[in-house]
Amino acid sequence: MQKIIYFILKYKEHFVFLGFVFVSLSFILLGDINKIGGFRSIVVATLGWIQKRVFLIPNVPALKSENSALRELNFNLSQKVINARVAEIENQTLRKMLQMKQRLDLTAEVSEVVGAVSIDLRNFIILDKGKNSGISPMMTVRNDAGLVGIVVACGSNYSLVELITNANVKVPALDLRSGVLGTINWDGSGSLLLRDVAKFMDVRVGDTIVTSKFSLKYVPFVPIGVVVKKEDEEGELFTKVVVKPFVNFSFLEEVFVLKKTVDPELYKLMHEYEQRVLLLSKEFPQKGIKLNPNQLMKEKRKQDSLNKLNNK
Amino acid sequence: MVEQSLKIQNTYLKIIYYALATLLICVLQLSFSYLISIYGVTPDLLILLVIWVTLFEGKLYGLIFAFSVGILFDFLSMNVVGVNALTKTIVAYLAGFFYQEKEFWNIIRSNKFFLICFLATLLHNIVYYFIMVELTDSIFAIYFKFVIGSTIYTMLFTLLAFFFRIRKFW
Repeated sequence: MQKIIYFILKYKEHFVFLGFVFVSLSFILLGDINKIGGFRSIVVATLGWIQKRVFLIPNVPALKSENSALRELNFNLSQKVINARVAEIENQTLRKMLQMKQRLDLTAEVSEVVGAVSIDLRNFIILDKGKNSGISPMMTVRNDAGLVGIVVACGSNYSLVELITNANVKVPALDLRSGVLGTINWDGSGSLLLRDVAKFMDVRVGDTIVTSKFSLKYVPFVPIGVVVKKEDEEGELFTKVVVKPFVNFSFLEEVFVLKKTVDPELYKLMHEYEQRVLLLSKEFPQKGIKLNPNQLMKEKRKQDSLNKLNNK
Repeated sequence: MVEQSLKIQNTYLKIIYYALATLLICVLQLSFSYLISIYGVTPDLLILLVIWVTLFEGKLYGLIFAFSVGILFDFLSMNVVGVNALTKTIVAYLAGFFYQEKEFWNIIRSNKFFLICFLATLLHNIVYYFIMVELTDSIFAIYFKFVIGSTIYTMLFTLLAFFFRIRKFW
């Protein structure tokens, strides 16, 4: 013990020095560590080295912190991967559209779908281009996959497109392989039906259906869909042909408006004839039945608005 | 007995002188150093005081004085507490190796004093700026600028020691 005391007294300056150094370092470490740049980096590096080389027991809080940081990094990276995939799909779609635009004989206006509306159980989409871009009613609308619909109304900067997925829309169609003609009509679910096809006609599953050149509204040879089912029912003259559309109507983003309309004279002629047929087919009320003037006025207004829309 | 009381009185006087000198240098250092700073480099007069005390009183007292002065200066300057205490203690430790009893004035009048001041100041600045330098892109440039600049600037004040060599001055 005496030897130790003697040793300490002999080298007291050195012990005092070490003591002061220790106290000073303790003060520094307890203080504001943000102010000490070089010292902090050396301390961190040294502790890291000691932790790596000397300590055998893993530092649990450090591991937890590292795991948390890695999870966050993983999340960010996965988000980036998803973004990259979305961008890749978008890129492919745009490339397809670009190639198709070059292939088209007709001039086409590329337009973006900015909205979807449903009026009187009819489905429409709204395009971001209108008369200012040379779009007018009765122009066929398609995308890279196939037929989408027809422009029914135009503003200066927006257009309303009636989709072929409406029960009242009938599209004259053609079986591209056999040349059989029919009418495409939406069945109210997810598929289209090729109607007016007699049982004996040559329509097979896998045939491609396109718009017919006899159509007054639609541009001919625009792909519509592929035959997926053919059902012959007993006692029926016509066969039931189910067509799966090429277009995914729930994911419409960009479309082409084909700048070709039907001859206005021909269209007018057809329209007048249609009106005449409608008037002829309309039943007159029987004698003795009371007429409701309000109901009649409503019908008249509805008819007038439809006529105006068609005239535009 | 009288001799002992005189010795005690002398010790108290010395403590008072050192305290006054410390306070004066601290005030000068904190309030007026910006007037003589060159590109942010200022001299550290406390180093010279610590060397003076260590060479005059010995290693142990020098260490105690250096640590106390360092801590005081850290608090007064609102710096990171402990940095000046550490560096001043290192200065005192280094200067203590040159301590020789009753040889103070000879050391002061010799060139050894400049060597001690230079080594102590350089070591002080190396350690001080190593701790305090900010982590930037030009960290090495800033580090050497302050280490060398401050050492040279402080050394200029040691030239005052030449006055002790002139006998007529005393």
